[in-house]
Amino acid sequence: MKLIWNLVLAAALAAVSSGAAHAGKLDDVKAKGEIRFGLEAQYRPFEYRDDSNKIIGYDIDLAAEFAKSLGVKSTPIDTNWSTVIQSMYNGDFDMIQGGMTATEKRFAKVNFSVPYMDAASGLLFTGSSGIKDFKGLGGKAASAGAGTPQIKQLQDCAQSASIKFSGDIQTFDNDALAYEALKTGRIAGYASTVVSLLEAKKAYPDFVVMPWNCDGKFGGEWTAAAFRKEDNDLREAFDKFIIDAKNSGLLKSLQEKWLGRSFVDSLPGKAPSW
Amino acid sequence: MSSQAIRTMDPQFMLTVLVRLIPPLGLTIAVSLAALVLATPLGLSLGTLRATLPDRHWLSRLTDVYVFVVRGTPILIQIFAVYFLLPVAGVKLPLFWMGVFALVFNSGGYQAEIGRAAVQSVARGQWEAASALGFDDVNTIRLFILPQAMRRMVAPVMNELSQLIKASSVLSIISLYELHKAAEAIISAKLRFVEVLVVEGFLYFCFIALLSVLVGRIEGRLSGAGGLADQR
Repeated sequence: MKLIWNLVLAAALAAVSSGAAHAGKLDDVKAKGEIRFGLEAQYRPFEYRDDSNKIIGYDIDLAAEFAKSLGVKSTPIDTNWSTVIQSMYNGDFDMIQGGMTATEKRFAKVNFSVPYMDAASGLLFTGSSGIKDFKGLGGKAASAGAGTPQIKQLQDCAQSASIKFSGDIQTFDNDALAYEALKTGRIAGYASTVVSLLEAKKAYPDFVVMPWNCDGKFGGEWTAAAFRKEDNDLREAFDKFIIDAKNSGLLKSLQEKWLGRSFVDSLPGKAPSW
Repeated sequence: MSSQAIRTMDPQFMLTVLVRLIPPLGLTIAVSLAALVLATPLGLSLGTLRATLPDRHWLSRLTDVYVFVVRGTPILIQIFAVYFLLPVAGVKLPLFWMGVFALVFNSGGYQAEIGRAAVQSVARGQWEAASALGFDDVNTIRLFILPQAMRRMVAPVMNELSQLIKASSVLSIISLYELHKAAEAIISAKLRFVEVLVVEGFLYFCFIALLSVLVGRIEGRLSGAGGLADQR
């Protein structure tokens, strides 16, 4: 499967790069008067749909402000998260701003912006399960979101803690399905970002959220916008916008609105790269 | 579904879900009907040709390969192929038409088999009788074979249509905001699961039930119009 996608991606890349000389993504966006950003509207509070089916959330507000700074309008494009990078190279949208965690694996295909949110990992258990820490998952079913960095973190951490899960790590396309599976005891633990797990705890008070860096084995994970490798002009414009938004207090107020508190002071000022 | 899940279902919430799912149901209906309108003539004509042309004819061989590919690959892969390979081939379709394209590709293959089987099921004697009366092949098919074969296609085509409508839910993977994608979005926003799926399933059921009734009427009318030609 992965091989097929890599082939498809390579073909898409070839098709794109063989096209006519590019005027630059930033000029493109300004000429169109619109910036389209990819996400999957299933990640509360970053992007989800309100009762009128409108996509709302932290990413939407932030992208709207970015578009305003360019003098264009912003349009969220709801896409499938596990193929979001391929879809961007397909030309479905100009950039990805969908609560994406910057990882080395993704960096092989995209460039990241300066981080605009903390993406530290966390573990979710139910209070009634009595599981208190990562080792408590030994012999039990562990899970994470499909296409998220937490899958590999679970594998690596299991190795260093020398525990074994029961069966393979289960992955879910939709966090809400995982919460349901956790509630009904089909899985014992779910790994995701602390921010999204805290959102789940609001709905299900019995849930226990535990920050998790596997005794310092990983950490320093950040949410950043992602761009095609060749679109550095657009990425630089976004970086400048984020730095300005930090200084003006805009980022802080948006984080307080959607995430309950500000994470601005802990955010690094440099784009993640490997 | 556990009994606890049923007890905790909230009718008020389910009603709001129902209202929110009506517009995406419209898209499901639109994409399915568009696919139906294109796939049925395509599939049934291919099948009819396949049944009447010699096996060695290029069109017969092409149809065989087509049916083989459709039957041999999951619709998930077919949809991803349309989504990722068409743009590489330089074909840029809006998402809605990509969905239609994928469904037509899939359903056309199954309907070709329905068409072929129905035409082949018409008794050999009908061909011989028409030929003895001096009808050429085209008129034999038009006047004698197809009227009988079409009646036999209706039930299996309806079967295939209900499959097609349900298969349209897989279009959620390319983010077409149809019924299933919309239901997933509500599940994510509300973090509630059972109620949304129950309402989603109910809406699919209603659409397919309605279509079944309509097709049942057509079937009734067709068999009512049966003449001597269908007596064996």
